[in-house]
Amino acid sequence: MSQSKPTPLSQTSPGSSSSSFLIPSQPSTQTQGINTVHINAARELHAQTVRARGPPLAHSKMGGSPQMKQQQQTKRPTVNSASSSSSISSSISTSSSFPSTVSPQSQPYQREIDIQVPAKSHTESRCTNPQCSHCGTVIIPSPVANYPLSETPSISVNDWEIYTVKNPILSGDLIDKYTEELALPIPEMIFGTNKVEIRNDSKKFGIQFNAIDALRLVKSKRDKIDIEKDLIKVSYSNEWFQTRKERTDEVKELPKPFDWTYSMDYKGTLIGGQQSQLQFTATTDPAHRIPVAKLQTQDPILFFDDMILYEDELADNGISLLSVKIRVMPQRLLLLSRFFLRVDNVLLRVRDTRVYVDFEEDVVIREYKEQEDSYDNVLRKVRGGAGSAGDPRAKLRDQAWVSSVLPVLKEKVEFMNL
Amino acid sequence: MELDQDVPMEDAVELEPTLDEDPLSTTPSADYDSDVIFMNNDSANQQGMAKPTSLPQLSGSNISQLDQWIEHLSKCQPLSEESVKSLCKMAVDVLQFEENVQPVNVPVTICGDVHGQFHDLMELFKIGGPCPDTNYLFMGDYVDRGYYSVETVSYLVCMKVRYPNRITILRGNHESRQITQVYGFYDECLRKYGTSNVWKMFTDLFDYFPITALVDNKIFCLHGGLSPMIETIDQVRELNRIQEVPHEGPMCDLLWSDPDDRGGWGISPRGAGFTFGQDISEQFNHTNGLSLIARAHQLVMEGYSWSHQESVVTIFSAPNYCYRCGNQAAIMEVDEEHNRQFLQYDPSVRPGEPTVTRKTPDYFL
Repeated sequence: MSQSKPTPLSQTSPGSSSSSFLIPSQPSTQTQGINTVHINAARELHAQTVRARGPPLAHSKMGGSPQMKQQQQTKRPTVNSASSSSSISSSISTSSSFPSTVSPQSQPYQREIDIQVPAKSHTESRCTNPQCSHCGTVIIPSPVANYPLSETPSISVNDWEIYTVKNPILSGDLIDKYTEELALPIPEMIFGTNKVEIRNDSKKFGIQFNAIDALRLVKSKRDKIDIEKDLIKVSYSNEWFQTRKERTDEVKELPKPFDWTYSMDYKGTLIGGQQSQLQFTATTDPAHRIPVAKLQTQDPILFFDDMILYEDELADNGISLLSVKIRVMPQRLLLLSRFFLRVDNVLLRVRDTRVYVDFEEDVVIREYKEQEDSYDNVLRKVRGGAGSAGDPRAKLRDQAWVSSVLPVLKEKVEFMNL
Repeated sequence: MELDQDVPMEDAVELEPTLDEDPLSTTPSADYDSDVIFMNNDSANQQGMAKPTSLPQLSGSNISQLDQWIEHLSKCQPLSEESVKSLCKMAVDVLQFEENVQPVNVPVTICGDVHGQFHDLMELFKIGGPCPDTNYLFMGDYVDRGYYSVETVSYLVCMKVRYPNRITILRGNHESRQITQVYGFYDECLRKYGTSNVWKMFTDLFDYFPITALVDNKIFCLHGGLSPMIETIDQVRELNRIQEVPHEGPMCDLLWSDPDDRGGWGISPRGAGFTFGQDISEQFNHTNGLSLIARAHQLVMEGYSWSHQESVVTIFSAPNYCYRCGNQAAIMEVDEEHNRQFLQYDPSVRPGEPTVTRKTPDYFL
């Protein structure tokens, strides 16, 4: 098959040899005591992980024959010996077999691109970038298996550094700490130490996406909240209250309300220290919008990650989910932070923040968009549209589809020239 | 293919049991295999066993059938639709005679949410000891979210029918028609069987699951928590549980409510659902002569979590919940002297299990 077995990296960059993704083929001292079933299972898990990390062939529009892909697969770039062992020149990175609508050679880059893995200022003791199966240098840290549960991959392109951190949900004592600090019951699944960070230290620019900063923007018990006006109620709330009228004496006082849907308008946390005076400038000029056309060219993806910051099932009344994904190409990157809310039989809400960075022009564009509609309206669109066969509620779980049909309530575009 | 059954989201009210015949009653009781721990002395002496004589006895052919199903399911292979149909009929015959407050003897191992994580359920039995050598009490939420709801619930129901006095399976808020349509079990049944028949059979069966259990008159076990309409355990015994989980009333509260740091009864800001404080828990335990309320329903990183100065414990038995949370799971062993011990465990490495819920790199915009 086209998914050839990866060969371990011969590259000698620091850290890469200690990758925890490689499972020893022989039971080593570390795996003694584990039975064969476990080793086989671990191998299978590893193989799955490696397969899954391969280039996104399923997304290929070229539909080349397996043979052709095999040829591309086996064509390994040679590392320019003049450059440092861990950096590759642009011509190398674009000779990968990523699906591309443009011939790599016909798209010369304006200047030399310096790609380093892990990123220049990577401080973790080891690099956890999973290795790419097809050339050993292109990094695609997603998807990953259950373990290792902690990942800290990174990459830098010129002066731009990208870090992602993925960890398990917070422990009970940290949840208690944040519950107190934020005056808010913490979402059921809180990936409180996950983050995506984009940095350019020479320009003193940095932006980070993390769950705790996002939750700081949720209306908490400290905020003044009008229960009737500011809060959404579940569909059967009236019914519930009706049947409990006679028992309201049991409830001495209503608890301090908070926005239980965890809705907020988080656009990321600007970092860069006190000395950084960098500010985004709001704009209505369409020329300053994120250049979608450039993002539609299928440049090789050097780095991809996708993570959840928090998720709550709203006591089975729907879902509230904040997730971030990022893709880094040789000349640009795109980050999408999406808040998705579905309150069953009540409403659907999407709030997107997109951050676009052009590495060549050192421009950062941030677009924020709010979308919302009633559950019934969206359900009508499901039933009216094509492919309405099947469970209509399945469509309501499809975030991409929902965002494509929700009317836009608010939009804000900002940019920053560094 | 006719996929869209579009089952209405409204509550079903006062469902009539769909099971009209009783295949077990027709089997000659002479076939009864005395090796089966079915009416052993322990359980026969159980107090509060209301209708012990009504309990059906398993025939030898039923036993071998059940053992065959268990064997099949333990490889994580779903039963045929026909088998599920006869399993559910057998299960109704067992479950309908259980009480709203099902009495359970010590020693017993108490478990929380499983949520279709079949391989983790197998890990649980490895950690806690195999059933029927170990007695088990599950506090609901067998289906939804995980990839193997069908196999998980089929397995547990098989074990229940095979060893009715060794395993107790309570109802969780996910054992309901409405919730399973949103959170995966319905879709999984469609995917694995092509029709919603199996979903219908299981959700009809869920109506018969007991809603609470009482371990040696000391530990009150249930999925959610307390209700302001329930002051004594006897009041739970009076409820009519054979119905879809309602949106309101004491049965709803027992499957949905949560303990809270605030005292007294609280109302969720969602506009439905109660929270109960430490004073409520302590009063309830005092009134009913209890030492502990054990419940599930909430994800906790460590697999178990004490509340209200150890008058309430939350147990969660789905490690790495939804294949992404990285949490530990736990079960609670209670021995003859009422000593409690928690066993925590992580998911095991398993071949064939989808290990990711994230997507491959894509050119998102």
